Amino acid sequence: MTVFLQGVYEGIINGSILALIAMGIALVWGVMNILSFSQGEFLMLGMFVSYYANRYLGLDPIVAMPLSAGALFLLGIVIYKLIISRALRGPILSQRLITFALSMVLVYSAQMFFGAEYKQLVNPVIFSGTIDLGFITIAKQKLVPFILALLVAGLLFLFLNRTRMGKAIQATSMDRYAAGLVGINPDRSYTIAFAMASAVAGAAGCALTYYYYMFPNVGATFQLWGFIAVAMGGFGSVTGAFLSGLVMGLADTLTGLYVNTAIKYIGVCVVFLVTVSFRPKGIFGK
Amino acid sequence: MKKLSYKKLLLCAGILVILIVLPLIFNTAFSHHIMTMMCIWALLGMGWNFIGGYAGQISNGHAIYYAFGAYTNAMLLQWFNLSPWIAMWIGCLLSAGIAFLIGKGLLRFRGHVFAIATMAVAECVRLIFINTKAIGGATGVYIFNAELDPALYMQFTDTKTYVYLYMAFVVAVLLFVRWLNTTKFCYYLRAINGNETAAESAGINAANYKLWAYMLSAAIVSLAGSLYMQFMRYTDPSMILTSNISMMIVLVTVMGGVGTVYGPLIGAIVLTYISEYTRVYLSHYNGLDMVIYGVLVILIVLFIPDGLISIPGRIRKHREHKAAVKEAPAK
Amino acid sequence: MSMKKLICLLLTAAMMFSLVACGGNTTTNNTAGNGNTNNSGTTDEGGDAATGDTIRIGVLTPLTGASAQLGNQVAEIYQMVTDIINEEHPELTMAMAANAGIQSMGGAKLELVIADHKSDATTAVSEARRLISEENVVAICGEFTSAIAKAVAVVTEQYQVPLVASCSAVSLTDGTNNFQWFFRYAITDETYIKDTFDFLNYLNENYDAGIETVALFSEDSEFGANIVPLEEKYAEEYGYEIVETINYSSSATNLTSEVMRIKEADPDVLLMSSFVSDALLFFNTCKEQQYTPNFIIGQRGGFIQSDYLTAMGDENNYICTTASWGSDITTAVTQELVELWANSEYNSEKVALMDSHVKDVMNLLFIAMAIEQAGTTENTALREALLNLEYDMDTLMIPWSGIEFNEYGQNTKANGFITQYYDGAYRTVYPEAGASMEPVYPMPEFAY
Repeated sequence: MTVFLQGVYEGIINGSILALIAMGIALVWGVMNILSFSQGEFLMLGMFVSYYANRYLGLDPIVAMPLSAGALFLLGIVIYKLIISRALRGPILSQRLITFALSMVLVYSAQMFFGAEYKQLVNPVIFSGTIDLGFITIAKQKLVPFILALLVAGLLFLFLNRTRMGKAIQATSMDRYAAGLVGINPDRSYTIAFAMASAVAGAAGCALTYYYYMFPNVGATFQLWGFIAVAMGGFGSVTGAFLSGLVMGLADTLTGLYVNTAIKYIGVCVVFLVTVSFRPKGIFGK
Repeated sequence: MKKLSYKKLLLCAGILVILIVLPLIFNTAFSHHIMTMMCIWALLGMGWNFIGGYAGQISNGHAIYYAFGAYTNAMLLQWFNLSPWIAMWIGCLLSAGIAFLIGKGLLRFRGHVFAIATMAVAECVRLIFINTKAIGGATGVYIFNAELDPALYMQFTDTKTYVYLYMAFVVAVLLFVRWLNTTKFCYYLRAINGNETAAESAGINAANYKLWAYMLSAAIVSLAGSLYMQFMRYTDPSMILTSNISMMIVLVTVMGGVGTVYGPLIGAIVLTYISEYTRVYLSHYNGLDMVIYGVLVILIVLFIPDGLISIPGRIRKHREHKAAVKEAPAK
Repeated sequence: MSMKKLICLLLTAAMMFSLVACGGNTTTNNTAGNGNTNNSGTTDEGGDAATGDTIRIGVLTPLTGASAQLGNQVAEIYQMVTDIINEEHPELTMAMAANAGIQSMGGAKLELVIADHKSDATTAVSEARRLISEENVVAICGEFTSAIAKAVAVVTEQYQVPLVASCSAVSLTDGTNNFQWFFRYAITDETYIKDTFDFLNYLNENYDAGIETVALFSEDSEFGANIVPLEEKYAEEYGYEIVETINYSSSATNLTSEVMRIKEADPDVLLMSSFVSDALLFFNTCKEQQYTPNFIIGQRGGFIQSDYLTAMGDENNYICTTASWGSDITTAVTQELVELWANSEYNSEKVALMDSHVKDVMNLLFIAMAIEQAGTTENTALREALLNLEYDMDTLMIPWSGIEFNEYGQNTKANGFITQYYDGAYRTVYPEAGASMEPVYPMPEFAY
């Protein structure tokens, strides 16, 4: 029984990182209808910000988090202005390929500047160690992504539904031209949405550095699962992406525990395919 | 078929001469390797073009059929000593069959969900391949055997033979695609791509046609896989079943010109060339070659969104526009 | 289809192919430079393999990608050893050091052509073809990944160019493919795994370890997949029970369920075939789950890479790995090499000499010795020399019991060791004859 409880707990924790990436992808997808292949790379950049902040400034990743989110927010704006906004005028296929090519550029630039070797945090951090509750063991550093995911989900929900900017973004995603007619600047909405998505990825990267290794291609590992979580959660639904991410984490861990670790990702895909077979627009899709 | 004019005949002869002469002029194994890979990518692109270009359903998981084509060749040779000349067509049928099953399940999804679903299925297939010892698992398959008859078993010692043979395949498939382009099949696909509801209301069974397109694309990609296997003579899932390969197939077609007849061919030639030569010259700067490659792709996709094949058309339009502007003030 | 489009297509194709030709012949001009690790050193024209005074040897190694750090270090040490061979160093014990260049060919110097295959087999094949057909190399070495070597072996077999590799997959030399141009002086996975189980027996007999159960933890690509059947075979033969077999993806987002299963199974010994990334993630996850494996024997891979050791630091203490070389080997030639490398200008990251470097650079030495012995770079003569190499074990860095090839190009007299990490280096603990430290069983607990 304890094994099962531990498995459930770990599944949810593991799903938190997926949820964070998925929320970013969902935001970009929902607002601009672009499938962003570079979210994984923003995660990677967030990880490197955290690593260098830790190594040269001695900062704990949780302190580096706002720094990372801020830096990636700015990067998101730059990338949007330079590349994405132009791509939006072209066919959908081009948009997807541009984010893919962009991810290549980011990965290999990171390789050039940071080196291809695997890195881990160097200086001690405050969230390390475990708490033994008897029936489950909780690793402190793993709580960070979970709490972060909850925070981000909550904040995004509030932002999109309670603030003017958020509602403007939602309006733009529903109908760009109509939004323009009522005085909303669609380009501004898109910029903010894209930048927020990369900021979320950046913060997620910081959370990840507590226990995962860093190298230029680390984003690719999480990217596909992020996509699947979004597709399962439903087009445009940030909440859906969050919940799907957690569900996928559960599927991953429980399949690995009770079936076979070699095919645990098949388990995740099966959950996804079954879900979309019954609800092709995703659980919360519109 | 249109009437063969004298001009057309001369052009075809000219192309033929160039194709024959090129591998002779650039006679190193490396150049031949590049030409062979260009042919394989051209086939991959042309195949994918049917589902991604004509039918408009962006599949990001075509590496599945690439792998099935390659592995069918390998396993039929290992188990039954079957010549690849026969095995490759069996591979095509097998891939079409698998495409039927996968397509039936996935084609009802639209847009991004379809793309993601194909990626998920491709990942599952990769995991299945890795864990299936009967086909070599992660340790891959070999078909290299110096004792086999080269012609019968398509394991030539001279890379030139590969180049010519694969060029012939490319030309054959290209002619096939050209012909198909004029049939009702592609006409309906274009209608479905344009506006599916309208097409359906005109009596076209969209689901069926998309399924046919998907199966056809799988068969052609499988053919490319078979040719790849015969050229490399060793493969394992990490070489052909990665998501990177699937994305490159898409890239090749889109860069060249999605939905056009010659687009994938151009895309294959240009992209293979860029990727091989940036690596040779620049890779010692620790990844600079891939950065340049990525930047080039971004630029091409941004500024020439209809693909490289559209460049002549755009130049022509630009000239016509200029000419018209010149005339106007005179009036 | 308009005429214009066809013409444009033709012109584009012609232009592309023409550039292919030009590109093929002119290359970046570089030589094995000082401290510059990423070279594609070549010269201007293709020609004879030994143009005048240089003999070109291809080094195909990953300079980017997953094994990049090791690949770069391998390239560096190759350059250092090439310099030693090319110059007069009568003070060194190493073979080929005393004289400058290849004496039997008039003092011809070796020139390395370093090519990057990016840890991708298709790229490796392309680069191999380029090295052979355009750079005109005499032999290819530098490859330590089995999956890549398998693909490249097809090319070298086709063009009859010797490929000397140190990767460990058994299938390259067990007759399944009967490569005539593949040579492996180093030991295979079979020997490594047998050594592993011999070591378990040794611990049981001499240290009363009471080991009965093992668990297998293997990543799912070619590296791990090769090793699992061998582990299963020897476990059965030696009478150990396998309580858990874990195959995992080396790019997994988490290893939680894997660790939980191993914790449940609680094996006496954990056999790990892992790369750097998964090993690091594994140990982090173990600490999260408050689990310390009783005893770990790794199969090289990530365990002998410097980025892994930097990340683990002292936490790697008492973890074992199979090895084919140890820095504690007391022969003069070994200690000289350790010293040279520590002070070498090529050693850009200032890493200590490791098993992974030595077993690969030996291949360069063997090729040089074979050329010296054959007196020519002609391939059949070279092949003869490689198969029947004359050597003086005192001048070689790895103290094997001998060099003797079977019909498939495998040296049957190489032997391996088990090393245990302690205080900054892996120390030989088995066989007893060469041991510099007594093995410590079991491992002390991690700090949670």
